Amino acid sequence: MADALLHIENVRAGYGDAVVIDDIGFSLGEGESLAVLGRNGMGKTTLILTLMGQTNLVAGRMSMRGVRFERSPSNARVAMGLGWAPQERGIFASLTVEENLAVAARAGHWNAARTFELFPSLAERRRNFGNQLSGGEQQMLAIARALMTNPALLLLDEPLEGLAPIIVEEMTRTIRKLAAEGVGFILVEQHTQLALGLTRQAIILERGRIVFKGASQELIDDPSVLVRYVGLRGERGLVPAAPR
Amino acid sequence: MPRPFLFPTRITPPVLPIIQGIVQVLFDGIAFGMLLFVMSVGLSITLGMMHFANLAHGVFAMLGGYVTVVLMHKAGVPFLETLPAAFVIVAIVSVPLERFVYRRMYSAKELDQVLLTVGIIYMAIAAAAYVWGPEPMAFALPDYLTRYRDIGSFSFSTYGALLLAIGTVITLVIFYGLERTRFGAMIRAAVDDRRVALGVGINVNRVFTITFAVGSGLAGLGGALGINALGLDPSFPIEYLVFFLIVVSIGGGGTVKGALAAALLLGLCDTAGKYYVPQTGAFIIYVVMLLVMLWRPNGLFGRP
Ligand SMILES: Nc1ncnc2c1ncn2[C@@H]1O[C@H](COP(=O)(O)OP(=O)(O)OP(=O)(O)O)[C@@H](O)[C@H]1O
Ligand SMILES: [Mg+2]
Repeated sequence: MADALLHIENVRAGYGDAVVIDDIGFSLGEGESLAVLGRNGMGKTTLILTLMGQTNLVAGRMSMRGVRFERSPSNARVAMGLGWAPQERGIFASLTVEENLAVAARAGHWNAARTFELFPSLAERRRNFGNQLSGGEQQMLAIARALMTNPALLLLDEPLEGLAPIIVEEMTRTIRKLAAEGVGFILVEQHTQLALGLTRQAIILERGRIVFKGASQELIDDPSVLVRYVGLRGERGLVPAAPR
Repeated sequence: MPRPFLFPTRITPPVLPIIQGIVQVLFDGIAFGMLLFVMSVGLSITLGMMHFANLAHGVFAMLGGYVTVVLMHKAGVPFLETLPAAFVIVAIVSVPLERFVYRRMYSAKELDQVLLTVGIIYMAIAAAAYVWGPEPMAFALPDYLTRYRDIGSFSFSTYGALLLAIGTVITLVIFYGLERTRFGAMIRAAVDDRRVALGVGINVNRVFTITFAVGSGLAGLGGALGINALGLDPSFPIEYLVFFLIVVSIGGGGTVKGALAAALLLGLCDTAGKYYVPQTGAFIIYVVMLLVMLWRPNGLFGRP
């Protein structure tokens, strides 16, 4: 599978000397989507950060469309097509909404006008500074900023965390819209059912290792694995899975 | 080397000596503050961006001074025309230093950074003494900059006016560049959060190299402009280190506004101290710094 959009194998990584994720491997094709599930502290964010080159990679290979990138710095990975919306959002406080988008801009379909169309409420705040935004607006901006890099694969780390239900719905619609436009994504979520409804494939992490890898539908049909590894807290965000 | 008064004062006797004094101190103090700002603004930005403690910043200022003196003495270039050369040459020299020496140390411990940059200071002092000799450089401003201009009962030095003018233009250019351009937004993004900046595709290393070069060039320009007020000899980088550190710590790393406010405060206090209490004048700035740091430990505009 040298030509998969993203292919990683035997990845072991962590912080300093501590190994947090181990023996991680999966492949994603163009425009495909993957849910990354697991309880708190199981290594989901560490996996995303490892894809972005912001952890200490101990072993493993990672490639994008056949090009190895495990030694490339973060910014080169963005140029290769990874678009990152961090869990803590990472909005630049001293930049306006417009500037947060502009600094990430790369040529392609997504530009400021199109992202503002996708997130009209951001357009109204375009001259506000990053530290003047609500949590929901920050999350939208984080995704919009990732889109500005015109990624082939979006890395969304808990985009629904801490959002009001009405904004969760709006974000869900947006993610669905992006998927329909052919943007691939990896979605880390605690709203398990929602995440499964939005993705085609899923993995579950347990203490840094993959304990389930398969179709999202499988987990919807047979929730016993979910209950075992993610617990009932996944039911928190129970929303009817979208027809696919 | 005892530092001379920034601008020898020439009070014309008849009227209002108190107001004259105040106006004199304001004018000289702000002019001196502008000079300090030009010299240290680069350090403030690069410190905020890479958290790299570059104590050797004054080496660039010294080098700018020597560029100007050499061009004037050896090539007969007029003072004003040497200034762009001081900026450009120092900026260019700073790039390999950043690329090949400093870059390896960004993630090093602060103590290691301090040791490295102090080492660079002493190497620079030795090199300058070897090339240009240990004595203060002879330097004379062109005639038109030694004159005073009388307005009413006040008299202003044209040199001070030059510092004010150049300082103001540079301040405006820096603010415009930083606040209104995409490149400036990238600098601010890297200061806000370097990891996220990398993660949204900003080539932080390149942005930093350019910023560092411009900041070093400005230090060189400041060093050249300031020879008349600060003197120029190989110990320059040590002698004025404390000024740069005061500007950065009072202003708060990474903010131009902070550096400007701190430089003006420092310029005013230093000038006022030397004017009103000549015996203890040089001491005033330390008291002011101490008070500001007690009041706002992160600097006037620093982030907690
Ligand atoms: N910067 C760090 N340095 C050291 N250890 C860390 C660091 N960040 C996370 N860890 C540890 O790595 C483990 C995995 O954390 P990670 O953030 O990847 O979990 P997560 O699955 O994303 O959790 P959550 O659902 O809370 O976001 C945790 O035990 C955490 O304590
Ligand atoms: Mg996480």
